Amino acid sequence: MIRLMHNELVKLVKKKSFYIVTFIFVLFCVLTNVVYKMPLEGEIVSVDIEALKEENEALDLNNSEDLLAFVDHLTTIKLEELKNEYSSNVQEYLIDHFMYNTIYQMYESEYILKDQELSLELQSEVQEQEEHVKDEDSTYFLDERIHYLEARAQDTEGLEQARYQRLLELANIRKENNVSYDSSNYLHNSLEFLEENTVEYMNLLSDDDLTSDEEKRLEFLKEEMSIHEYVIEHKIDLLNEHTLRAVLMNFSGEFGLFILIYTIMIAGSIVSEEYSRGTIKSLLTKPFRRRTILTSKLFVVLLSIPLIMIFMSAIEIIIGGFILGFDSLSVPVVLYQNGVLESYSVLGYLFGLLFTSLPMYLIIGVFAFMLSVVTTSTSAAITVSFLFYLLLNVISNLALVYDFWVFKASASLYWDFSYLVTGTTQTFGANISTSILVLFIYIFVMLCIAYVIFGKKDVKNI
Amino acid sequence: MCILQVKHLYKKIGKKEILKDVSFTLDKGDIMAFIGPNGAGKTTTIKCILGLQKIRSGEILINGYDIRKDFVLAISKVGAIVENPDFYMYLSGFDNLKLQARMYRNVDDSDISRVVELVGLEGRIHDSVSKYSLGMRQRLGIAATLLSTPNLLVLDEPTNGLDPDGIKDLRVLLKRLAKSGVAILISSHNLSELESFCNRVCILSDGKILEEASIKEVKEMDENKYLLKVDDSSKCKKYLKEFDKVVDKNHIEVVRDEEEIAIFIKELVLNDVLLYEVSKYEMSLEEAFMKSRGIES
Repeated sequence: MIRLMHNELVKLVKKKSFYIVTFIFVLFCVLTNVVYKMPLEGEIVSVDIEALKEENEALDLNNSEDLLAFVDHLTTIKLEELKNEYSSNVQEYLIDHFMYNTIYQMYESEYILKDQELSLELQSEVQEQEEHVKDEDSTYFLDERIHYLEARAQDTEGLEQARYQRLLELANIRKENNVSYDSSNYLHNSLEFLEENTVEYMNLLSDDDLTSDEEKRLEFLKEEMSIHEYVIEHKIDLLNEHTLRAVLMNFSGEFGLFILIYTIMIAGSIVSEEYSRGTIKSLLTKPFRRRTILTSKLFVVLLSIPLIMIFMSAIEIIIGGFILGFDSLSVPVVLYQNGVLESYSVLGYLFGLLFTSLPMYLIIGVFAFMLSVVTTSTSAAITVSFLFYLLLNVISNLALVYDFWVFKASASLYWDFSYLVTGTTQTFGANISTSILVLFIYIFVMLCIAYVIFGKKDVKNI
Repeated sequence: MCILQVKHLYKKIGKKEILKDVSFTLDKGDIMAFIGPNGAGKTTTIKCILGLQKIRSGEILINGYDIRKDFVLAISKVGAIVENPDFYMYLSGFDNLKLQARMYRNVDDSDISRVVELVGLEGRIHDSVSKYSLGMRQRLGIAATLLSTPNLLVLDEPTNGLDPDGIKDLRVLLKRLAKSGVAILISSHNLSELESFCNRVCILSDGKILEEASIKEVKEMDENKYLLKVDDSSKCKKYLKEFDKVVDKNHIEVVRDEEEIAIFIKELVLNDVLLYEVSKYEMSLEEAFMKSRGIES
């Protein structure tokens, strides 16, 4: 048996198709890592200043609505002009987040309130702010903000006060850690997320009568915020998408198709190719029972799936490491599970994900293996197996919408165990033992068909 | 000692009866020519013997083991090529042999070099099989069958693609193997090639055995036929009998047994026919085969 398996592995590893797929995988791997390396450009909304100016000229300043639009446009134009002048990360952030109000008030006092004195006062304030923006002086704005929040926290009470206190807390954390308003700084991004969502979060939290959508939103915010808090607390760049770690965390999504291709290619050809080559005659006239020969092939298929996963992971780690750097491997994966954060090593998490996706590849692999025996046609086995995979996926999508008993029999409802690792719930509500039972029945039936047919099949003329 | 016994083999594929009561035996040292026209059931019989196809009824014993009940024991001392020598084309000849060697206990690299040398492939054994000619693949196929030192060789059309030298080598090799006690079953449609080294013949037509005998017996089944070279065939006409005939101006063909031919020659000579040559027809296996077919039709 071991000798037969040894033979099967030799045949497999020396096959041309194996090298072709591996070559394509390596190329794909390089491209994927390059894509991860590229900065994610946020949508650049370019404002056409000239168009706004023209629009303003056409406005009737005696009309109150037009007047509001006029002031609004002036503010936008001013902000854009400033951003064109000061274009670093920090400067743009400061202009957008701290100068808008002052500038708006400045134009408001001039055109709507027609208060010359206030207008001049605000003008000098804008100029002062501009100076600080020029120097990228985050501390100035932060101190202003702390000052403001302290005052608000004192003036208010109840929920409102709690919100200001929380924001003040965040501002103080920013100050303590000396985090500038720089969008390329992960601490800033996490703080910003918390600052932006605190109000909504606390409102939802204090509301006793939530709709189900609101509850989902609250749950989402809870999870996201706890992760951002973790980032700030441990000062670990968890959410960086431009790392090897991020690629590995999305491994199944990025490279799952290749695992499927390898699996189907191996399982779908391992028996049928012997028939098409004619080597089945030499194989079946050796001193082994047919079922021993089939079992050795089956074992090689089953063994090759995890081996392929390890092989692919190794290639990705090497290629990704060279393109994105290896250092992110030391950053843990932090998951929000049942209300608490759990941290795992990247490789442990990857291993867990791949391990829990094995049942799916196993079902597809055994299906391709069975077809390979039944049809003795490699192309049929491979094509039909892919269609089978697509069909089951369509069925599982339909099963989400329609409660039809036939859909419940689809293996695709049970074969995903990744929820055990990611800490989410099983999409279709199946428990573990049911899942295992259903998958076991699938495999048992398919293997029975394969063994009976292989045992009885006459070797036709080739 | 009886190595292969095929008893009352029946085989049906679909509604067509492919084999009807096929029986023959093969003893130690026998080389049996298994001949018949295309579609006669040669390859099917061979596949049944090797357990590649199920039989409807009948029995096949190899070294005393039933191929259906004790497959592993029955097949373990058999080397076979069926239809074509099929290999993993992307592997080298050596790797292919290595794969086969691994399927037997006690077959190692020294056995591989031994059989490679036997078929004369030493120079090219590490080339990939896809670069081999059909003749070289045939040699490699024969090498593979010899790996496990079998006592029954089943070769389906082994001379296909071999050049005259290759055929000669094969003939020598098979004779040597037979001498050492191996029983060999060779199917072919190229009868003249088998004739010179087979000692048994089995003629199959339309799923039935027509003759199963030694080569000598097959040839002797025909009456004796003689070719005579004379000065003028027309002078002989009056002495010819029912089955005799004039071949051309100088040749006549007569059917006589040994006693009769002597009298016939005397008769010709006494009647002033100049007789230059008398030769006895050696009926070739091919003719014997054609004759069997003739009887059948």
